[in-house]
Amino acid sequence: MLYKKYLLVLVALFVLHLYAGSWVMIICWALAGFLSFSWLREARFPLLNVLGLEILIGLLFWAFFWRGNEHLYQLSGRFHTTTLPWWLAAVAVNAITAVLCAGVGFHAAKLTQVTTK
Amino acid sequence: MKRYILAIFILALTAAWLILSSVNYAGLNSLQRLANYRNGILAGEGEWMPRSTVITAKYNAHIDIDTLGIPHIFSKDANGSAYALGFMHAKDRYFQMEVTAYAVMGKLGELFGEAAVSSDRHWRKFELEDRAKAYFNSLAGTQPALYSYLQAYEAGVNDYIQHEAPRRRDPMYTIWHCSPHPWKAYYTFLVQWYMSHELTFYDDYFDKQELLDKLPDTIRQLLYPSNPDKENFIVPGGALQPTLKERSLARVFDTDSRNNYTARPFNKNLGSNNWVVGSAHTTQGQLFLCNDLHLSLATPNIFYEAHLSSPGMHVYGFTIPGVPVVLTGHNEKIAWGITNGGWDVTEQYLLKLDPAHPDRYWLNGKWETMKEKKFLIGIKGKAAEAMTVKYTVFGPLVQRDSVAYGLKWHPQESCQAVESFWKLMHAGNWDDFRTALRSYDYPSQNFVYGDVNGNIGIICAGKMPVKPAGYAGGVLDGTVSPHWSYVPFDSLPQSYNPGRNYLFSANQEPARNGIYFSSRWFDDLYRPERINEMLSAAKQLDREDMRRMQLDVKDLSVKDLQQLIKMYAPEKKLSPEWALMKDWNGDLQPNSRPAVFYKYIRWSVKKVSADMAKQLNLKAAPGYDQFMRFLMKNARVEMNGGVIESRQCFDKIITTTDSLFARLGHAATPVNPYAFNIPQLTHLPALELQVGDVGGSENTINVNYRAHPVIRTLIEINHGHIQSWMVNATGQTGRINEKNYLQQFAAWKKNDLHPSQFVRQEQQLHAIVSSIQFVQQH
Repeated sequence: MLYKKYLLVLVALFVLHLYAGSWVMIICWALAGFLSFSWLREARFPLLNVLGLEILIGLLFWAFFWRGNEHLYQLSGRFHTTTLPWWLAAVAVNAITAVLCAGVGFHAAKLTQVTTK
Repeated sequence: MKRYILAIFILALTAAWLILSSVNYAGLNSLQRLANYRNGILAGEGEWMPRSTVITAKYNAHIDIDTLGIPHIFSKDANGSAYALGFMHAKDRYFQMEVTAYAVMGKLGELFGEAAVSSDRHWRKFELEDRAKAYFNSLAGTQPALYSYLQAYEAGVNDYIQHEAPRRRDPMYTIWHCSPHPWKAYYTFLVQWYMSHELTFYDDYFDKQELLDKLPDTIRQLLYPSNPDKENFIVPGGALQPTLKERSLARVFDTDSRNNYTARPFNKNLGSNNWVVGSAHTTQGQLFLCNDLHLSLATPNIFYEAHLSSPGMHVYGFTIPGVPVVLTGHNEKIAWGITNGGWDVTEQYLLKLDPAHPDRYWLNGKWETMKEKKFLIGIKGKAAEAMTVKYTVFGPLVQRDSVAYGLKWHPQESCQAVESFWKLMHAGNWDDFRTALRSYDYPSQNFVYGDVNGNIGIICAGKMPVKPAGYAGGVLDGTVSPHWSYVPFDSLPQSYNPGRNYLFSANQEPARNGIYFSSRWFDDLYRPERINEMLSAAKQLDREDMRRMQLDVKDLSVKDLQQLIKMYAPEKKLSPEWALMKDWNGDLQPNSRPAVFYKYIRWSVKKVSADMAKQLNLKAAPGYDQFMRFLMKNARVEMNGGVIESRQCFDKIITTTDSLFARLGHAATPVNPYAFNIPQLTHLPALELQVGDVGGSENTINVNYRAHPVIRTLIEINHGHIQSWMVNATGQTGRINEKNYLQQFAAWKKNDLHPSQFVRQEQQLHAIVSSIQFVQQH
C-alpha cells in the first residue's frame, strides 16, 4: 500500500516538475512533507524518501528529456565541463530544497498532529 | 519542547537556504530558478528553425542560410531585405543587440542590476534615447525610404522574438534572468553611438594638460612628441587647417602641483587596417581592397555577415546586429572598407565654480546657473536610483577629484552615419561615394574605395570640430561661451587615383596638420610603415599576398631596436637573448624564442618610460612609439634638478629586460607573452576563451594587443567582376548553446577566408542548410 502511495507522489512530483515554477514547487514539497506525516505514516524515513524521489525524478528527466538535449551538450561544452555537473547541480538544488521544505511540512504536521486514518 | 526546537531549527534552516538560493548574485539568475526543471537552464532547447520554414509576415522575402550561418536574403524590395535581416539578427544575436541598446540608453541596470549602474550613470546624461527617437521621427520627412527600411527591420526583429518559444531563447536570458523586450527602430542609432563611444570617447585631457603645463615645449617634443618623424599620412600632403579664434586655452598645473585626476581607461589601440591596391601593383591588373577591423574581441563578435539582394540593392559584407546596413563590403559596382579615424571629438572645458553656490559657474564675466535634470536609474530587483545631472552650456558637468569640467562629446549631437551607409549600399561610383559620405558624422572613419572601373580612393570622413589655434590636446577654457563649427566635407583629407596607385590607412594621422589628432599625438608609427613597405614593394601582388599580408606579424620597431643596440651597446657583453635580437627579422610568432624575448623588451620599455614619468612628477608616461623615438634621438634632458638621457634609459631597459626574463621567461611554466583571453559579452568568467597561438603586437598588421582583427575582408575586382572572401573571428551566432558558436574561430586564426556567395540568383547558391520563406499576409 505504501509503495502505491509513493508511486502516486512520484508521478505527482514528476508532473509538477514539468509544469511548475520554483515557488509552486516549494509549496508542493512542503505539502509532500505534510502528507508524509499525515498520509504516509508507515514510512520509517519519510524525508529520506523525499530525497530518493527527487533523485529518481532527476534520473527520469535525464532519461526522457536531457540525455538527447543538444542544447545542454553545447552549453556545458562552452563552460568547459561535461553535462554531468549540470545534472548534479540541478538535482542537488532541487533535492536540498525538497528535503528542507518537506521537513518543514512534516514537522508542522507533527506539531499539530494532523493525521488521516 | 524538543519537538518545537527541532521544528524551529528546520524552519530556520529552510528559510536560510531559500533566501540564499533565491538571491540574484550580481544580477545573475537565482539557483532556484536556474535549477528549475521547467524554466531553468536545463529546460532550454536549441534553435527552433526547421530546414524549411514558412512564416506569414508583412513583407515578402526569402532567406537561404549556408553552412556558416550566413543569410542570403532575396526580396522584391529593400524593405523585405531589412525585414529578413532583422529576423536573422534577432535569431542569432538578439541578446547582444539588446545589451548594446540598453547600455546606450543608460538602462543596463534593468537587465543586469546593480553592477551596471555606473555605466547607466555615465550614459544617461547624454540623453541619447530621446535624441535617437527624435532623429528617427525626422527621417519620415527627410529620408522616407530609410525610415520605412528601419521600420521593416524593427518588424523583422520583433516577429522573430514573438515566434520564438521561451524555452528556445538564447540561454543568456535564463542566466541573467531577463526576457527579451521589443526592438524599436530608433535603437539602430543607439548602436551607432555605442561605436562612437568605443572609438572616440577619450578622457585623458587633464593628463595631456599636465604635460603641456609642466614641460617646456622643447622637452615635451623630445619625450612626448606630438608628431612623428616618419611621415606616413593617410593622404600625403596637407589639408586646410581652420582654427577658431574665440576660444582660449586653459592652464591647470604648476610645475610642482600634483595631478589627482583619474582618467577613465580607454583602449587607444582600437583601430583597423584597410588598403586598396590598383592594377599597377597586381599580377593580372586586378584591384584588391582589404579591410580588417581591430576592436576588443569578445564572443559574440560585434559583426555579422550578410548578403542582401533586391532590385536596386545588391550588397554583401559585414553588418552590426541592430544596424541593418553593410559597413564594410561591396555591391556590384563599388567596394569599401573602414578604419577608425580616432579624431579628437571630445572636449573638456575647465570650469570656475562659485564656491558659495556650487550650481553656478563663471561664464562671459558673470555667474551662470546650471540647468538641472533628474533621471531615474532602474535596477533589476531593487528600487530605482535617482540621479541629478547639471548642465552647462558646454554639456553635462563632470566633477572628478579636484577638477570640474563641462563635457562636450560632439558625437552626441548627431547620428547620420546609418544614412551614409544606406547610401553607400546604393552607390555606383566615386561621385555617389562622396555624396554618401558628405553627411557622414561619427565615429570618424577612413573610407577606402575601389570600383569596377579600376578607380581607387580614400576619404577620411566625419564631423570634425574646429579647434582653437594652438590647441594641443589639453583642456579648454570654460569661462567663455563656445563657438562650435566643423571642418567642411570638401576640406577633409581625401584622395582619388593617386599616382602611386595604392592607398591605405592604419589609424595614422590623416594629413600633416595635427588638427584631427590634436589630443591623440601619435600612437602607432610602425603599423602604417609596415603596410606601406609591403604595398610599395615592386612585386606584383596576388590574392595570396593580400591574405598573407593580413596575417603579417613583422614588427618594424625591431629595426629601431637593432639600431639602438648598435648605438648604445656595440661592445657590451649582452645575454644570448640580446644577441639574438641583432639579426632577427622581427617576425612575432608566438613560439619563437626571439619573439618571446622581444615581448619582455617591450614591457621593459614601458616600465622605464613609466619610471621616467614618475621622476618628472607626471602622470602619463610616453607611449611605446614615443619613447622609442626619444631613445633614437640620443638626447639628454635636464629637468627638476635631474638628468634623463636616452643612453641611460636604454641601459635600464637592458637590465630590466634581463631581470624580467630571468624571473618569468625561465620559470617552470614560462609566461606566454602573446596569450590573451576572449571574454564573453557579459564577462562570465567560465565562458572566457584562452588563446595562446597567435602572435603580433600593437605595431603589427595582424594586431595582438587589447584589440584584435575581429573580421577580415578581401575583395578582388577583376575586369569589372567583384569577388570577395571574408572571415569573422567568432562566427555568426551568439548563442552559446548552438553548435556553430565559434564556428569560424580556427579559420580566423589562420586567416582562412571563406569565399562569399555574391550571386544574383538563389539557384546559384550552394551549401545551403536551411531556408525561410516569408509570405505576405493578406
